[in-house]
Amino acid sequence: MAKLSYVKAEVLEKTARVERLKEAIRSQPLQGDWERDHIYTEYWRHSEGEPILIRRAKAYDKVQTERTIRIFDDELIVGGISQYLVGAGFYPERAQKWIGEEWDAVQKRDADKFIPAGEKEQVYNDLDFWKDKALDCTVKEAWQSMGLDIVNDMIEEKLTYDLLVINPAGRQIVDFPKVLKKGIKGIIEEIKEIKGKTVVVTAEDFRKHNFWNGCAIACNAVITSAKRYAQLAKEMSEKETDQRRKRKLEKIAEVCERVPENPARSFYEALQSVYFTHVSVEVENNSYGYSLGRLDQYLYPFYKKDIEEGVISREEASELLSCFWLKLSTIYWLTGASVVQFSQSTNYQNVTIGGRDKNGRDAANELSRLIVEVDTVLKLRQPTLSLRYHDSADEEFLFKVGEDIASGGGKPAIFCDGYAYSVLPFYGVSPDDVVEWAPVGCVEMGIPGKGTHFAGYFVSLPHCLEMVFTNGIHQRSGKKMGVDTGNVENFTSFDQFMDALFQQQFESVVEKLSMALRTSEIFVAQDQAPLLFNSALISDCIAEGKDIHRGGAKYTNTILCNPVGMVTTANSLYAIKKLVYDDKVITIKELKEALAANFQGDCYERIRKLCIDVPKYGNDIDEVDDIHRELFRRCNEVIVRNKNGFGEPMAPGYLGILAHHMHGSGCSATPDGRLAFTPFADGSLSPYPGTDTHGPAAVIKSAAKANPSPALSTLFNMKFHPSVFEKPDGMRAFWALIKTYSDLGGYHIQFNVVDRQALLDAKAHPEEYRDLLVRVAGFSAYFVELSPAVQDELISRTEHAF
Amino acid sequence: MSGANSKGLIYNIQGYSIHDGPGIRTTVFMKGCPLRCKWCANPESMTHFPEILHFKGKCVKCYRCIEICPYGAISIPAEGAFISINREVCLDCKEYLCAKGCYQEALEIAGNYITTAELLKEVKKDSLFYRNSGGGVTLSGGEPLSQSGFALQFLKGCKEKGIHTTLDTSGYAPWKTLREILDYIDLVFYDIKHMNPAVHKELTGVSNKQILKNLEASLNLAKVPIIIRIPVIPGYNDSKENTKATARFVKELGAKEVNLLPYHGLGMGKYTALGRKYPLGEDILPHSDTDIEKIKSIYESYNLSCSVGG
Repeated sequence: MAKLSYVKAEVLEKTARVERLKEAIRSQPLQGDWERDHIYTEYWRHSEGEPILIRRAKAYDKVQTERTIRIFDDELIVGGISQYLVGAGFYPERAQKWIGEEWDAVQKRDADKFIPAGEKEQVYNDLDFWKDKALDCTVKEAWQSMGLDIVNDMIEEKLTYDLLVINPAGRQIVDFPKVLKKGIKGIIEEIKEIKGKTVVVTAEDFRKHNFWNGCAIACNAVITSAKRYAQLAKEMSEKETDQRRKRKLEKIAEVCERVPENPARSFYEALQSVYFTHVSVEVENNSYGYSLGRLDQYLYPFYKKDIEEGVISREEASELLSCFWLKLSTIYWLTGASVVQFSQSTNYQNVTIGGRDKNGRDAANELSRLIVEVDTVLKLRQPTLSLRYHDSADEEFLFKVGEDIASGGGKPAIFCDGYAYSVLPFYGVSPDDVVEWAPVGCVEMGIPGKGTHFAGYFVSLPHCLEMVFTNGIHQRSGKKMGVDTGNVENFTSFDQFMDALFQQQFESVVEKLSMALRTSEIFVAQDQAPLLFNSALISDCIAEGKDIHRGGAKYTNTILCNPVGMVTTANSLYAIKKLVYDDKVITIKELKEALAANFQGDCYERIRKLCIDVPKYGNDIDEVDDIHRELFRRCNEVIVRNKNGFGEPMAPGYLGILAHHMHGSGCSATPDGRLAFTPFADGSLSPYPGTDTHGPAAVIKSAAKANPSPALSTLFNMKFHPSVFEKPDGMRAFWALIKTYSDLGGYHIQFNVVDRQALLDAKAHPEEYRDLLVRVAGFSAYFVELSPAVQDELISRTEHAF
Repeated sequence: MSGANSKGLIYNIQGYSIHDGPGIRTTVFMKGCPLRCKWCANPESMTHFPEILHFKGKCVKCYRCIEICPYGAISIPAEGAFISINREVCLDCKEYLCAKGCYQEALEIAGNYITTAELLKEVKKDSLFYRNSGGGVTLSGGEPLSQSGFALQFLKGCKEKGIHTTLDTSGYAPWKTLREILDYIDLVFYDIKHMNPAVHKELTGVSNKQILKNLEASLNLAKVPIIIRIPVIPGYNDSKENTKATARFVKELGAKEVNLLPYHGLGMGKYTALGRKYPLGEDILPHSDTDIEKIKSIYESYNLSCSVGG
């Protein structure tokens, strides 16, 4: 475990129970559980003709009533989205094709292997039922009817990606505080009340009526599920011979009997209520990005009261929180190989800490610190943890967060409050709601309990750049995915090039993809895959009588268009500007030929060297950074001209996740010197690996020049060697770096504090780690320039850097 | 050698330095040093002219540099061998076509001439980081006092902008030179390598007489806080006797703070890249934390505040 001696430890070693539970979870393989899917399919087979809103709710009820539930050894917080300790269902009603095709391969694939647990005959029988009904077929039919077949090619050639088809909803934070305060019971009351006031006159009223009934069915299903756990715990306690476990099981039975049906009364009940609610959302629509919002804020009153009244000790609270954390880590999202390469099975259950309260004061509390400590000690892949940074944050708290960052794993990510406060009003978010903002999914701004986010789509900007050289044709496939922009050799200025890229190639692609997205995520999904429990927990769905796909949420215009490859494109454009139009070192024809040849051959290698030597983004050089900034302006301009399906502008987002690998694998060589089919620079603000040679302060300056507003997200990764955190001075300097980023208008940044594995990789692939700093007094060097023996020494030291 | 156009030779400007003075700093590494410390971690800092570093780890033996060099300074000693550089010939080179033409970036030039105006512009880029962290600029080397005219102009420029300045020096310079510069310095890291003049000469190539005299004068001036920096080299200057002598000496002069820099071999690779031999050999092992703690406690027994590692 990584501990910094100068950071005050408030708790705690893991208890034996937590240790055992962690080991049990880690030693379990991930199971793909067909049970939920079979129950759902069975209901669907026998409910033809039922109104969709009722049919979905009843299918959900059947799943919650019939699926196998288990309580595992040592658990204090119970529940799960599958019958296994670590597992998930498939949801064939969304995407069925990959399941049949990959069923036998998922155990053997490179990343995110899982065991397909289900009887193969039954699975294929169920899949056969869905083969003409699931979203992945109906969406494609709809596209065809709209003349959007080219989108399938765009997916195939990585200009965009599969999620456009298979995953309509998912990224939101449901109203956990409301569940804690009113209980699910209270929400059912609310539904009854509004239903009672409504006289059904129009067809629209009738649909509302069905929606409310559907929501009530779904809410009751959640209560049923919790009671089943209560019953199971009771039965288990009666048989349990170990007295300590017996008492724990009795307690679990008591808690599950009470929540989430009723308001929570204690920290334990609150944690269990939140977990049940979260799991119930995932059981309805397992996806990536269902987040927990400001956990340290809405749980704090329960924590404080229990501590003050002596109901629990700090150690007990920490153990409960650890169990909750471990249980979050058992939730997965199963995907086909095409999606694995973009995000892996990481499901981005984002927990937010810190930030400010409505009076503008630092909101971090004792529970925030406990959360950070649990996260540091447990070191789990999930949940994702995020800090809302602001200038009045308490230094001691920041040090604790810094310790978690220093211990590796890229958590917590840091989000600057200032950017969020400045951008959210653009989307009509009220000042009171702005205060409550929290990251949803990986890096996107969300409004807990009031906003919903759809998957949106990714679009590869370097592909568009490629098509400027090829008059709209994607090189590898030979297909026309863009538009005619004429022979690039006839362009007389850089501006002409930029216009061809943005006003023509990019614009035409975005128009097609936006239409495809409106169709898949909104039009087809609202008729085929409405979400009832999800919607019941998002304002103003109940008041409006509409599910989230119909725009029931108070804030819905957050459907993202995510350009990918921003930095690769910026570096490429600067190379074109400088080499071709400014310095006239090479002609555009030569460059075009070199790109087509993937820089192979001696004269093209010379051109590649010229391209590589052109200054790059990430070094605080205005000439390059200005182009990067201009890209954001131009992308935003095009994106907001397109509509999201509710008649509102699309929102720009710049979250890359791992998309730089996937999209890069379909894109030819680029003028920044990048070779064909290799990854782009990651995120939207991270320099291309090895090209930032002026240190982190320069990178921060470059990133802060971008001005992505009104983008709802940016993604910025930075690598550090742990030596940076060895002393309090280093820690203080680190936070000064963050403050400066925040002062300059930055939004998101996260740190990859390299571990031994990364250093080994750096030794083997120096070209990707040229920017990795080793900080020693009075000494100047980058890791990759050290002698192999010294590198080995540093590698061996990394294991016990603290 | 004065005014904004005077040029200095530097080999690195390192942003986000966090161990060379308070806060986030930009460390300017100046090239050229009158000392030849056997353990020097920055061997490219020694000479007063630009030099080529050849990193074999990056080199793919394409031999393009041999063709590119107009002076015929690069050759291969044998078929399939790494290149060999005739560094005498390189002294007259101003173009560095070999490094510019290397696709692998295996050849690098250490040292470029820069005006004080350019350097000021460069360090000013990070002024917000200085302000937020209480940081500033650190002048290191090499030996900054070896290019005192340039250093002075640059430091004056920093002070005009209100930038905090730190000097990292061996103290080996005429007193007048150091005295003049101290007017523009907010903090000094002052190295002491050994107390015995003869041993000092053997380890660094020069006697310590001028160094110790300058230290006394600087402390007497009582104008700038001075932190004594001691590179602790196993088997060379880490004896109890020398440690005590150093502690007694600096304490008597009125120093308050000592900063130990434990030996590390991080610079070894750069010797190879420069075609030189590492004077200490590769067998020397760094101190353990316990060893360093013992040395630290000696300084503390003299009522000196003592920190480790910058």
